[in-house]
Amino acid sequence: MNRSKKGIVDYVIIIISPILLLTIWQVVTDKGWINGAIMPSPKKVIEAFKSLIVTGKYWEQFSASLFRVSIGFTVGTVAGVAIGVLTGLFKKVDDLVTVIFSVLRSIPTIGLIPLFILWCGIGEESKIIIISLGTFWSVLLNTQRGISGTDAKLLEVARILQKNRFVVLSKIVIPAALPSLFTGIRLGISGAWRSVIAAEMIASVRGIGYMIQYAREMSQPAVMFVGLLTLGVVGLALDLVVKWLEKRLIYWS
Amino acid sequence: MSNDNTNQIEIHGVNKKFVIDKKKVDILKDINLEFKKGEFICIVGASGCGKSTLLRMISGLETVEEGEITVGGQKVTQPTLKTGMVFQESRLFPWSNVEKNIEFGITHSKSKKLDKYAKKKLVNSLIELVGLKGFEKAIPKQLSGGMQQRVSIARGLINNPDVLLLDEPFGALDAITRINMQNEILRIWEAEKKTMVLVTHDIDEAIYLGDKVVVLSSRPGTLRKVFNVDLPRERDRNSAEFASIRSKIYKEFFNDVKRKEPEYYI
Ligand SMILES: Nc1ncnc2c1ncn2[C@@H]1O[C@H](COP(=O)(O)OP(=O)(O)OP(=O)(O)O)[C@@H](O)[C@H]1O
Ligand SMILES: [Mg+2]
Repeated sequence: MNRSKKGIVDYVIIIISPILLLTIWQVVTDKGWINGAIMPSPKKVIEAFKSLIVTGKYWEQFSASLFRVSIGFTVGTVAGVAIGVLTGLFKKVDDLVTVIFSVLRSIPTIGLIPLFILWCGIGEESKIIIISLGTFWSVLLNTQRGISGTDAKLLEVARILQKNRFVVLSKIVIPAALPSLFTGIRLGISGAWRSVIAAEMIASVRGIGYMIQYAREMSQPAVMFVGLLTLGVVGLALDLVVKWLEKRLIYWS
Repeated sequence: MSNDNTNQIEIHGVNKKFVIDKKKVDILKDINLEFKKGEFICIVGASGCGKSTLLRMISGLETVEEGEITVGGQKVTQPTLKTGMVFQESRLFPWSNVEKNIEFGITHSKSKKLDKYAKKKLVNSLIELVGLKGFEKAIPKQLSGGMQQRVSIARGLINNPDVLLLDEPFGALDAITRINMQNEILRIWEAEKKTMVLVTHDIDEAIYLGDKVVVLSSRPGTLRKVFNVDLPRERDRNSAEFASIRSKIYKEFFNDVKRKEPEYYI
């Protein structure tokens, strides 16, 4: 059997379980076997989704989260790549920051939310910093690993051909680090997505995280499910986009 | 060939030690060799006897601490573009296509300032030389082992070096591809008139290719003997002369083993 080529039968098998799950969910909530106040039926969730769309509230919350993630992820990635390149290239720089970084990296980003609220207030800044951090460490670590792990045999080719540092960096070290960098970006983007929700749940008046939190206070479980499903679908979509990009950019592996 | 009887490479009293497990170990001992301009030299020896090390010292990748190596009259202290190198593993950039891999040899060169057009022409002529026309845009994973090694040879030649060093360039190839590549490298050697030094542990390959076959003993690598192969090319591997040289070289190896046998009783 060829695992890469999927036939109709394979697709049927793949979608059979989610359909089954939705059906069971619909049935048990319809029959009232589960309390509708804590577990809405799929139909109710869809209705809630529709009304949130129509009133424009969904977009308001969703765009707020998306905006924060875009900025935070970009900042975190740029910083992670820049510092990762430096620490990967220069052993001395790595030695200089290794202790500090190791300690800071071990603090779960969520634990830092109160601190940044204290420092920057509950505005956008604190959230964007949190998201940046949620991205930063994995991008940094994987960039550094990719850079310092450049095949010494290829570097020797550059040496025998008398290449300067600039050529070595742009033609060998950077491309060699790309696969690892992409691993960092994939982890980073899911980190960013996790952090934005955490930040919005703790202190915010907008965003998907806020929507989920607020739905609990307002006893609107259907809205809560809309939020949760959004998290799942967007998280998956981001991962797929990065994977797709990776396949295109790292065509040689 | 174009032997004008001047020495291209001279190796005088070279010793090499490496630190292995905190101990200095003799790798090469008392190597003295002279290779003429335009000669095809083959170096044979058992695995680990220091063939690669010797080649790397000629290339300037490995330091020469005791003795002296000169290439074209210049003492070797570091790599120069006058000496090209083809490694055992083709060492191509997996992300670059054939053209780009070859062109790497002249990107941002200090000595060679070529415009885009001239670069392309040079790369194309080399692609033709190594017989890879039509594969310009292929990346290494789309090439067979033999084709990858051709790219590597082209890259080694692009700076028009006087000397091309080849470290077991066909070691990873199957027997048939290997024989084809041997003929290819002879064709290139005849066309380019370079001094070529090729390391191998295939004795037939050495006799087939070399004007001289240098036999090294193992641990530490010392010079056993240098055989002159005065047979006209294209050489017949089944001829009596070929067989006679082969048997002499085999004897050399056999004696080497015998001579060292007592070591095992310690
Ligand atoms: N950088 C190094 N540091 C320490 N020891 C080394 C180094 N390079 C090579 N050696 C040692 O030197 C010896 C000779 O190695 P070399 O690679 O020259 O052998 P070789 O004749 O090319 O073998 P093969 O046919 O297997 O390629 C080996 O014992 C090896 O362990
Ligand atoms: Mg070797």
